[in-house]
Amino acid sequence: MKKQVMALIMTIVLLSGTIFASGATDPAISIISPVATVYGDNLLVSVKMTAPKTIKVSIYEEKQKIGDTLVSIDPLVSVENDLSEIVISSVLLASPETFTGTGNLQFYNKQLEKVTPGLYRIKVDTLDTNGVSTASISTQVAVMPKDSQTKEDGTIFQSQQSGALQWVRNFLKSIFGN
Amino acid sequence: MIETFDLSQIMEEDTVSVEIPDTLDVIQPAETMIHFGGGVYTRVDEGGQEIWDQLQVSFQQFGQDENLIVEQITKEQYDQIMNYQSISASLSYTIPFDAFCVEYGIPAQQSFDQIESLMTLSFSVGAKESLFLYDSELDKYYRFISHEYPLTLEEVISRIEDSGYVAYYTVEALTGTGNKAIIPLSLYTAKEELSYELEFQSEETDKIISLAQTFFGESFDFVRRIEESKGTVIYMYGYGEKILTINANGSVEYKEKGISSGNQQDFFIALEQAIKFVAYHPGWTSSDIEGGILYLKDADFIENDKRHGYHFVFGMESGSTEICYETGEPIAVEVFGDQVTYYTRNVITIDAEQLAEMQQNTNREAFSAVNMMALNYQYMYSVLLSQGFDFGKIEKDAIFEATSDQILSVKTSYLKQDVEEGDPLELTPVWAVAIGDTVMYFDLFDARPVGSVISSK
Repeated sequence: MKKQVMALIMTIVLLSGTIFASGATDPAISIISPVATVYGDNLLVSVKMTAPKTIKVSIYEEKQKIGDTLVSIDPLVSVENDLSEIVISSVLLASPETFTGTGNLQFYNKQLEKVTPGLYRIKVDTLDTNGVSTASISTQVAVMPKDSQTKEDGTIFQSQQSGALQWVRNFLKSIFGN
Repeated sequence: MIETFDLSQIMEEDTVSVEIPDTLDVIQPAETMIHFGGGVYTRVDEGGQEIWDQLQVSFQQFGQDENLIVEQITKEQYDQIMNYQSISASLSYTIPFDAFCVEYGIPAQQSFDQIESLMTLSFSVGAKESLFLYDSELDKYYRFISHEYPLTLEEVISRIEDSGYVAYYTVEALTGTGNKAIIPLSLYTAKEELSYELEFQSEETDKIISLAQTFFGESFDFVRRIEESKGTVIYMYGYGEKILTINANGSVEYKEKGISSGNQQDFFIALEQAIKFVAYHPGWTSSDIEGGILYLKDADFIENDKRHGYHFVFGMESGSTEICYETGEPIAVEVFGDQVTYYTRNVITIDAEQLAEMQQNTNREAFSAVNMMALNYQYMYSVLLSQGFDFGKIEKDAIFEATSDQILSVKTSYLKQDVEEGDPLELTPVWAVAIGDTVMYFDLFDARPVGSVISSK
């Protein structure tokens, strides 16, 4: 039952691609980027802060544990399938960064380069003066290969061609009838 | 191509060679943008002219294709196709498309008749047989399709991507608002305050007289000279048929009563007139203006007493960075027919050694562009309100989004601020934010507001 509940939660999260939180959240902190799916090998992290806070930003790759080996998750699989059957291990990509904002509006930005396709998670903790996390927010993102962001050229302009063809058909109908 | 012209043909003095740039030499894109895919962009400053030239060559080849297809597309289609790896080069003004085709040697086709003007040329790897054009006058987008001449512009994107670039993202990606203008994620620069000198100072009598002679020629002996208490020097011919003013701040203004019939004027013929006039009064090319280069920054069709002409503004840049003026412009020329009726010149010079020393500086990080916006959105909001901009009823926590949605561009520039007598003449490195009808300037390193200018348009 517990596994089914977890599977349901995981599915909802992955399908909606929205931010989720465990425990308390900080209304002054929101993750603007990344969105649910990104293409290419650059990963932009942008955190909006509407109050002077200190945050800690951690970036993980969610990898599948197969035996003793950790393997990147195919992002296409992560988007389309339920991952509750696999064991996921979060691998920290680099040392978390701490940032202290000032004023009533500030943005924390970071760009990761040469990111390989897979499933990633960005976690933002709000820290108190002792460096203890008092609130947390996370988002998951599927990083797709750059060339997968394709759409046939004909598709973008197809409606235009269809429109023109339909106009001709209507014109001929008006002359010759059905 | 620069040609030389004997000034003696009009002045009947000792032969003087004057360098006159070609009209195509002064036309350069205001913004050249590369999209690498995945929402990552860059802006090309140095090299933008080269990309513009390549787009023209591609256009020339397309024009030779008898089976060329030209179709109007929607903005949505244009935005979708530009989501692929793409290049776009935009002017800061429009050029009539028929005149553009003649000037750039593009064989005209009947299908071109539907296009009125050009501001932007683009290429996308999502449609490799196509070039795209945006006409801002009519707010229309066009697609040119040729299967006969393969485009090699994809190589440009790869070359820039491989050689390293400053990453730009949309305001939308960085802030969550809806603006798709691009801003750099972070920027390191060697820029610092630059000292400059005025080209003219009203007390430099010999230099001023030489300048005045270029305007009045043989009539100079009949010209009245008036010196005002504030340091302004005025030369007047007749009853004001021609008036030359050299202001105490070094700016020059020339007015001539209009006599031209001013029939409908070709853009490039008018531009050529303007360039020649500048070249004679007193000079044009970068060799005359130390540390800076002049280029066409703005062009507007104008009407005056049923006469038609053009108002041209020539901007100035140093090292591919625009020098913005808090008041006025480096050069402005109004042309009606074959007559220049109005000319202002406020050119500065920058010591080349100072520029070379600056390039040796260690790069330091500029103030984050997105946080410059975050720090100053209330200021931007109040400036726009003071200019009468109507935001409608918005909640306090929606002000940032409402303001940032008005941002058209964010660039680095040098700002020539208005100064009082005795103040140092220094250019300030700034973030130049084009927002609504205004350009607002913020110090490049501490983001404090340093000025704003209402666009003349």
